[in-house]
Amino acid sequence: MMRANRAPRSPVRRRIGAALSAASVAALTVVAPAAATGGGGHLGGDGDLEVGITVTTPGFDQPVDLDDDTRTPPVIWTVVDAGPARPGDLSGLCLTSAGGFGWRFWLIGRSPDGTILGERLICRPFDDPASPPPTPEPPVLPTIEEIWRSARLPVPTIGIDPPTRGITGLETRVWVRSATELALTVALDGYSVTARAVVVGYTARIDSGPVTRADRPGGPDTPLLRHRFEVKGPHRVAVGAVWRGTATFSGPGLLGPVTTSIGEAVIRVARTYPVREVRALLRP
Amino acid sequence: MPEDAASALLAYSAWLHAERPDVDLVGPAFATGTDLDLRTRRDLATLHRTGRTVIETTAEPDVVTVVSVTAHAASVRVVQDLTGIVLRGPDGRTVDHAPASRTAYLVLLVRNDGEPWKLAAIDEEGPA
Repeated sequence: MMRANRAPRSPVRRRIGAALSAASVAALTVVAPAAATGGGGHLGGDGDLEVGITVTTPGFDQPVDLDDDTRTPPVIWTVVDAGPARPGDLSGLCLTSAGGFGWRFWLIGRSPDGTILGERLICRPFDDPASPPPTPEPPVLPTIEEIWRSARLPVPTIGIDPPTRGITGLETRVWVRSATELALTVALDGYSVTARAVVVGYTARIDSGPVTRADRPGGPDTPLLRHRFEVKGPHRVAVGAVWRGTATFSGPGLLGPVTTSIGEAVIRVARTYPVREVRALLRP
Repeated sequence: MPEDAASALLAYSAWLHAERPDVDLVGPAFATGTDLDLRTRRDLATLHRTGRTVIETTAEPDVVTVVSVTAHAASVRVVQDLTGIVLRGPDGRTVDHAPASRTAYLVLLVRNDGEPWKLAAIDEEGPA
């Protein structure tokens, strides 16, 4: 297709683990106690944890990891010059609030997945009848990443049984504990942003194996992931919570509140899980 | 119907690039002042000056689905089964070519009251 932009929104998936707030990391030791619960336990708290967030922008089928300085606008603006086609043409003119003639522009906002969020007619005064006034600048809204950072997603807790270490050949069960809803209203870049997010999925992974995803967090009796370790030694256990959110923006340049998807953010926590080998000794 | 308009406008755009790179023919199909309009005019002027044309080859007809419609705007998703892009010189010979694959685009159409749809943006989503 001729003249396609390579998406004006910045794609897709980017790691912002480095941007995770110090406050959230500090909270790890609170929400991830090492104490065993029931038939299993919850790992965390001894400094071996890794936490990362991956944001997935709506409208992208091909995930791409981006540099940290890339920003994803929540609204893609298109400005259309709807003024007179020829000098002296009256069509395309409008009346400004001051009562004079103005040049018509359309400002159209779309979410990254293509949904039209709003259209707004802008009537700009002009001096030279032969040429249009400068094109209006669309609003610059806070980015999707800024909003997710502001949300300070709660870090999920790794549920695991056996709780302190695994045994080769013995089934290990993994599940997730996480908050399931959050809402916030923040002021960002001159805009009021009200965001809501809910957990829509949970993930679990052992070492570099496949990621198991489910819509339930699991539990000691209904784990998200069952695994039998074959090799003793340190292994990595990771779980994640998949958050999906929307944000409503109010502020300068917007005719009214604009609500759009902010995609999904997956917050993962991983840590080392020791696995031992138990051998039976036959004694005569 | 926005999808019919999108198909017709995209076919017209492809024809301009492949057969008649003439900036005077941009107006009826492209919304004035948009980035797409400006870049298309620039590209067609270059093609016209150099006597070249650009031809996109596809294996299947485009699949167009409506994403969203308002009074003056429509957003459609277009999946194009591209197989290649060919740049031809004044003598009709291939100057350059590049392979291509099935690709999805988001296309924005706009219109004033009582006027036909025009192309306002074409954004590549990625492989389809």
